[in-house]
Amino acid sequence: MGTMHWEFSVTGGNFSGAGEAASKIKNILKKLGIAYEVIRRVSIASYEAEMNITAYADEGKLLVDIDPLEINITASDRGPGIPDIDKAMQEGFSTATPAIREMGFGAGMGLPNIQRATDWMVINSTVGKGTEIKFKIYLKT
Amino acid sequence: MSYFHSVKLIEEKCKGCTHCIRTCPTEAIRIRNGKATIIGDRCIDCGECIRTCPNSAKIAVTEQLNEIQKYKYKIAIPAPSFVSQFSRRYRIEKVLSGFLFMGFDEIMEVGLGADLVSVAITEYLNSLGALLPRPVISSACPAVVRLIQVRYPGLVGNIMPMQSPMEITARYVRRKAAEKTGIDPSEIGVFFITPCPAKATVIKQPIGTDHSNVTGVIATRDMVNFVKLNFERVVENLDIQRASSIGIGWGRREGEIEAVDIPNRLSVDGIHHVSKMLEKIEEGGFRNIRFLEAQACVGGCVGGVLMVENPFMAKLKLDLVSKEIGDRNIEFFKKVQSEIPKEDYYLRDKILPRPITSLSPDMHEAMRKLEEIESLTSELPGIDCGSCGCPT
Repeated sequence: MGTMHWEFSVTGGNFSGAGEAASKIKNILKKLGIAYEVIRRVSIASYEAEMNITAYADEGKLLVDIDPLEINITASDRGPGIPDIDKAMQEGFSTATPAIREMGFGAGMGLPNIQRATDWMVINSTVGKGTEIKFKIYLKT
Repeated sequence: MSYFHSVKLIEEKCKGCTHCIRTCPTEAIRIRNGKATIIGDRCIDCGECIRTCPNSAKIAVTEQLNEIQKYKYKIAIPAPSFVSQFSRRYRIEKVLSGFLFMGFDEIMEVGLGADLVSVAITEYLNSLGALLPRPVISSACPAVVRLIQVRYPGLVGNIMPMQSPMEITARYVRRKAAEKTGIDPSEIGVFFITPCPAKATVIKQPIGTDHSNVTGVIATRDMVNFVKLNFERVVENLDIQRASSIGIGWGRREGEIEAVDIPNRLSVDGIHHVSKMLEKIEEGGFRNIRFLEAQACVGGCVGGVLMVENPFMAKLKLDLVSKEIGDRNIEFFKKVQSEIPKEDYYLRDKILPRPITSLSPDMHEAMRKLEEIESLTSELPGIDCGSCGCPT
């Protein structure tokens, strides 16, 4: 009895289907009987990560690993990458196009929200290639 | 722990057709040995299965009309939606007089309680403002409250800790009657005329408080039948303060949000639409909404399974009636308001989760089960035939 894995693919630009992966992850955690507060934090972080792929990348996926101690999620995409990660981590900073903002996204809160909701987070990005965001949430505090 | 349910199965009528397992919002029904069985921990008494059963095998248990005779003093409190069940031919004042004809000593419309609760909700939302979760979800529909307890347990803190108009009305009339007549409150029967089984359940098993002031519930359709059958013999002798248009409006969708004076209100009706919205709220959605009215039945209480009239027609009728009634009688309203202490409006106890969501209390076991489910599902063709008797 070790770890369980899931993989959810996310299509860039598909706003109508966005949030599905985060929703599936949430329902897995409910089935496993994880505490509501933990589920809430995972939901926020995975939703923001999924929305980032939807809004900026061509395609990507969420990899989810769950064991009895922690949840690890890796959101990786093929896309434009983030030129200045420190800047992207600032609240309110966004490179979203007017079209994306029109749909109610791009407030510059995505990455800061992930950081706030998780216990650990790291971003690797190559401009012109893609981005990988890894984060961890402990099941017991 | 076992829970009381007003929704029951008549086994002889059930053909095991699987219609109900597909529409049940909490996956509470299984077909076993060719018959439906309801899982008590999961059932929220919403009545969807009653609505959907082609064989009328699902029923809601409510009181017989003669049950009221057991009480020395009998009070009827019809739901705001009640008056929507009569066409123009039936004068509402005469319809309500039918309660006295039947043997009730007194009648007070729950619409009056709704009017009072509307003010209390407005005060609650405005005074606590930013301290409240978003959205605050109305506690008026007991099926929705139970849905949250079992399927969205993380959202119990969003439920408004407010008594329902039914409870406020029942408590008030019971106390006033005891004062007026000197009869012991235990010999006073307060009967709610209900549009739905969820209300029948909530008086036996109250949420957020230890007992209900309602003695029993009578199905709207039973009362409608009685009034219509005896209409010619009913003498119009009603001398009561009627509810206002605001209070009566609670009987249909959007009535509650119209009655509450705050910005950013939203209304959702139909149990499956409610589920979808709660799903989104769980994921952090609808944060711009301050108050959410959520009703299990399409159209609100006018769409309850114990109603007679078509829900859309009933809504039209309710709107016409409430227009005729007009604004609240301020003098009377203020008097009643001054007689009810503020704290009476609030639920005494916290609403607790009753989760059915996890596969096992032990996480290792839950993981093992989930793995088994996933490997089984991957081998199956994904056709929802229902022949295993379980929801998919």
